[in-house]
Amino acid sequence: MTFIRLRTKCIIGFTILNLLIGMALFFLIRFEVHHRLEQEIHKRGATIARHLAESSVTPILTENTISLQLLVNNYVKTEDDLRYIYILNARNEVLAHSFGTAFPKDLLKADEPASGANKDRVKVTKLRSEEGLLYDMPAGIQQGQLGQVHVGISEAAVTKTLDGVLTHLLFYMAGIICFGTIMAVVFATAITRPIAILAAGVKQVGMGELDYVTKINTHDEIGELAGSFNSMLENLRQTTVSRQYMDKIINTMNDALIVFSQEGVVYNVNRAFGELFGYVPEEMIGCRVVDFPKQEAPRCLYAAFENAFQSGYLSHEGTCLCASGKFIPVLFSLAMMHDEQGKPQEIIGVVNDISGIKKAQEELEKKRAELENLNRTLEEMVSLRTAELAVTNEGLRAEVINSKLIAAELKIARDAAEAASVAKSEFLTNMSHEMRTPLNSIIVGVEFLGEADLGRDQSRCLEMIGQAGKNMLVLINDLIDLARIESGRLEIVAEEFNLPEMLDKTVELLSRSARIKGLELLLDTASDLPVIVVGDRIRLQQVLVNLVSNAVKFTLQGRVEISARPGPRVDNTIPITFVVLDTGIGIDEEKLQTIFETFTQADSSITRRFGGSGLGLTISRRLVEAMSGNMQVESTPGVGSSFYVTVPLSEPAAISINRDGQNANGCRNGQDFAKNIDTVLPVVLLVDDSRENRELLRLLLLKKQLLIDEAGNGHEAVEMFRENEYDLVLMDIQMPIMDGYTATRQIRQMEELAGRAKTPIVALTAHAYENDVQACKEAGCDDHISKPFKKAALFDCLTKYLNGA
Amino acid sequence: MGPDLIDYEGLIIEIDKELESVIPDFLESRHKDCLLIDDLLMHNNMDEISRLGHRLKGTGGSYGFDVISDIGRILEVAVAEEDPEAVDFARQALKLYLEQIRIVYV
Repeated sequence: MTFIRLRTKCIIGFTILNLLIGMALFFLIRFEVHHRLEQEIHKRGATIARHLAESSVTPILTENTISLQLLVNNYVKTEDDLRYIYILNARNEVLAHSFGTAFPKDLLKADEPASGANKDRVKVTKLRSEEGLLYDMPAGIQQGQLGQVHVGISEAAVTKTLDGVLTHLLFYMAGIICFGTIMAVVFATAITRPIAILAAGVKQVGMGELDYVTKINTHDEIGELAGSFNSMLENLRQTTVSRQYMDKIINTMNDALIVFSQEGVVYNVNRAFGELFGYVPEEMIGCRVVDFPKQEAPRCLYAAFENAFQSGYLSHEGTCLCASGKFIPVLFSLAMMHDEQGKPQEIIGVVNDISGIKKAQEELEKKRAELENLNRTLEEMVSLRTAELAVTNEGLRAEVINSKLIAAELKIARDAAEAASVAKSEFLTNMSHEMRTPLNSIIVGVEFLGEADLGRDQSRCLEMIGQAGKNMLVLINDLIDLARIESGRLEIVAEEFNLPEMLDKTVELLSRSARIKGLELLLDTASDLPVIVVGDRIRLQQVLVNLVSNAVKFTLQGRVEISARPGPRVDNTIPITFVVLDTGIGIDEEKLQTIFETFTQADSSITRRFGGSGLGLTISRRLVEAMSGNMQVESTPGVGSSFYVTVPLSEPAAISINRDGQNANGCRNGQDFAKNIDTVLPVVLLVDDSRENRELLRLLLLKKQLLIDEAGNGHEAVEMFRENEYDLVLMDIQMPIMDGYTATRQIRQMEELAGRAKTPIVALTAHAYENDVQACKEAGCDDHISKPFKKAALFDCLTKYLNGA
Repeated sequence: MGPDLIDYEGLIIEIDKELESVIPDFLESRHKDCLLIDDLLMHNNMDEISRLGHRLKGTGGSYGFDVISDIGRILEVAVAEEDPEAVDFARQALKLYLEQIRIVYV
């Protein structure tokens, strides 16, 4: 069907309408004017006829036909459009006429005598002549009694006037029609232009251009339609994937894709398809599949789909010809796309190049065949070898049994060696403990005897015994530590302690030895050194004491300096580097490599000169390593040595104490805690099965502003704790009825169930090994004091746990 | 026959003046402990000796008598080693120590 634009239709419609109106007007005007002109002619003819009738009365009565003829001639001359005049008498005889010589007789036949019934009504008779239509208008003379006057006027007069009028009319109408057509064009354009824009928009959207926006700002129905269209597009943009996006996805796909119509016209082809088969995708779109050679991909795929059209889906393996003339194996899937009503639309084909897979399959098949051959060969060889091995099998079995026996013996030997090692360490530990006890007594006894009034030789002898005893005690302590480290029984504990205070105590401990030797012992701590830290205080102090006492021992003059500096913090851990510097004898470079080895001193003569077990540095280094730290040494013989110990220490989560020992509440972290206790006194529960210990503790705490309750065993303690609230519990561990571990666990459980705040529990234990301390902590104790305890340790504990009470 | 012992005659022990009121009772109890150990040893009640040793170990040093703590430790080890001679050694040491010491309150 021929497409005709709406604008053209509008223009044609308006023009036809104009023409119809013009024609209607033309014919209406022509008819009306003709009628009116005809009436006028009739009236004029009638008037002339009457006038002649009146003027003819006398000549007729006098039978003066000449006058009548003159009268007729006169009228004919003066009136141009008069065609004829003739006068009849009563006998219907022609008295005068304007026809010249021959009067047309047929006029008389056609004539009917004028009736005088109606004077005003003009009777007109239309006559046809060679000149055209004539109007015959008669008038009676003396009401017809004397005769009749007939006047004939040609219609040409009417036609001439009418033609003049219509000529003008046509001119004006042509102008009006032209103007109307121009206006029709203008109006049609005004109406159809937005529609055309809208139509173009619909077309763009139909092509998937969802970003299109129609720009129509008219305030009419089309404007509203455009607004609705734009809103619809906005909704579509939000809910529909755009054509560009789809194209991008399709062209990004690595699988080749082709879309064609049911009739076999290619609608779409992606980049991968073009690359796989050697086509230019843009050139393929719109082509018919029958235009491609028979085995080429588009035609091949279409044919495959036609064969399986009923199923609506097809997945198949085959070979397709490329544009380059090469066949490639492909795996393709074809499917029919349906619209919302389920009506079939386009066919979609996805093609994968399976050349690689085919090649791999072929390779695999080849390898499998090779393997089968190999397998057969091997089976044959095995059969042969089996027969051969059967002969030597007995000999091999004997060898295997022998090997197993050797392995078992080796295991027994290794276990025995390990057990011996453990037994050695335990023996060493136990023996060392037993040796230390009487040795303490010897040293005390020697010191006591030293104060007695003895002879010079006796004093020297006593001094030698005392010194030997002390050296032996150091050796035994070192042996215990080493045995503990080697047997894996060394446990590093994490407890809060005051680092500057520990350093002060270390210096204080060795200040006497330094003073005796005339050495200067200095402590230098960094201003940003943390105060309260978490680590193994005892082991760290042991290392520092060892290093400082070594420094004092090997320095004859000058100074020994201890410094502590914090390193950069990592999370909650701060590596602290302790440096022990001396101006002593120094260590040779070659000896520096072995100085940390067991029983090694820089020079064996040193042992004789300075004493010592040679275990100190080994133990120190092992302890530092156990604390995840490291230890290094720098030394220049004759100038001095510097030992660097870096140990990671962490900061406690909640406590904040500054360098002066001031905590967050402003209380000093020392003996003055009691000064801050107001009227509410802290209550301490002493739990010990030993009455003497309880008495002693009560006596020592007497001067402190404390309230004290006592329990003789764990069970009593639990019951008392149930009934009362305490600020601190001092818990003995080994007790009858219920031991300290059980009591502590029950107290912790009770606190948890009752939602009570956690009361500090400090274990009093005569078992001072690390595993005992650990057991206390696992039972729920916050801290421990070794028994026998010292007053200072007890007071430190009170300060620590009752400071905030 | 017991082992050779160090002569503690006239051994002066300095004790905190604060504890002066409880020391005589404490020492009296230790004298009784010597008799108790003898009795327990006779009845081979090693468990009780061990408990006594543990108590002495925890108490002695706290009062200022470190040697008593050492003797308590020896008693514990001796019971663990099932060595009655060592127990007797400790008993004799305790008895001798108690006889020889002179207390000075400071």
